[in-house]
Amino acid sequence: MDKDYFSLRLKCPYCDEHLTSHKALRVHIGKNHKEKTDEFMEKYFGGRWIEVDFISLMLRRSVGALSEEDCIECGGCDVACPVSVIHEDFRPFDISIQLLEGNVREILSSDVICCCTSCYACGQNCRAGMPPFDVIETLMNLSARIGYHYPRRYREYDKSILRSGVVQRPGTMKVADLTRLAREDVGLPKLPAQPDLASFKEAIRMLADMRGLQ
Amino acid sequence: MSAKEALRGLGLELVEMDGSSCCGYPSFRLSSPLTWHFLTARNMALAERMGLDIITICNDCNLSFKRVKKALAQDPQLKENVDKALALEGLEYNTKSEAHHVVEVLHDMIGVERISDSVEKPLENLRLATQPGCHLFRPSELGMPDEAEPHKLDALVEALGAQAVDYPGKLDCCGASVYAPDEGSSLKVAYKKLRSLKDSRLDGVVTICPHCFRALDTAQGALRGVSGFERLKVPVIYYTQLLGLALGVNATRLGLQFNESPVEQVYRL
Repeated sequence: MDKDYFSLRLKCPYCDEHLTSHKALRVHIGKNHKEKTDEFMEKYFGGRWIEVDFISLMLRRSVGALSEEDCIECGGCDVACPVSVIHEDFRPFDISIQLLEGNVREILSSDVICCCTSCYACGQNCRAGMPPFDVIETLMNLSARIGYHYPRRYREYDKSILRSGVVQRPGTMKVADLTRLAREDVGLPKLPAQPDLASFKEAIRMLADMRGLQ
Repeated sequence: MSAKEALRGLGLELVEMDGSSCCGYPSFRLSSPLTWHFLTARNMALAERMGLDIITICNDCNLSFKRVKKALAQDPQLKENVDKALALEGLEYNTKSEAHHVVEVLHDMIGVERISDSVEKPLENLRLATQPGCHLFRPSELGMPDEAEPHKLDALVEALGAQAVDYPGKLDCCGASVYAPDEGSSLKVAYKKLRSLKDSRLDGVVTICPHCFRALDTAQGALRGVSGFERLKVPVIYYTQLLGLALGVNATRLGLQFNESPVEQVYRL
């Protein structure tokens, strides 16, 4: 890793904000200085704009299965995809081809990969045995990791899971537009108890450290 | 709620898993696969500590359990990291407990015959479509609850005396998974499915995935008043609700009052 990256001392180079971790810094730059993301990555990663260990592991695992000789370019994945019918820009076939051509950065910097429903339909018709869904999932991982795109609602889900263990903990039920009733009042069963939040959070923090910079 | 009531009618008592959390499939899978593996393995470890197997009514949770189990078996380094985090809560993951989808339990363990023997109010004269949901049968190489041409939910619907009817686009995705990043696309995918169901002139659609249910049932509420979308009024019912009705459980005990689609058309017939 380039020395400059650590000399930042977790202060954003483009504004005066101080961040709590390297990851938070990357996310901050992706969010607030989008146009600077490439520059930041180039500068502080010494041209290796993605953490090398991470990309090599993830890509080897799923994108490694993708090769130009194997794809017979039948476009079957596009036909099967439920999103490509209604979304102009989302085409699993295009994403695979762009990747084979090495345009990783173009794919990652467009938010269109987030539109994958992970329904696995694209793999069902693939005669070459290189279904795009794994690849798209890895790309979404990378995009989130770099700080390019990670949908706001997913970020909220993550936070909520950290806070309470679940995405939503419905204590009340909405029965009509303005009426809310407690679960017990409408005969809904009690929810299972929450995790022990102190150790739960500690475990997740520990995992965050494991994935962090070595 | 309806799963508890309906399965009790078949002699199966469910126990809540205290301390369980979200499996992490919707969001952590994309932001931090390691945390996702931990969350799912943690739920398995909790079940292991209780000495019980898991039953899930969710296709995504089921897929998550299958994928994580496979990944942890293949990658010792990943397992080691997950184990370290589990140890903080005194948990261990040794694949002793299995996770089963409710369709597996109903179709493969209890059996269609026993279900149709238990029916008290046969749902005759009902023509219902089924929406098994992608992750009930895809990706087939992971050994999903149903085969590539899913038939188990149809068999379970027919066991209740109703007729399960095919319609165009039955195996298509409902669009629920893109709701968070792209609401517009999600509603369009759901609308396409609902349109096809409406045109097939059926009495309603039965689903066994909470995401499909949300996309098809709740989307009808969300689409209300949005230009370009007609109000379709397709009744959407969860399989466990339908099963409960056939077993003679009161509609309110099955939570049918919370469905946003005009589901009373199904149970008043």
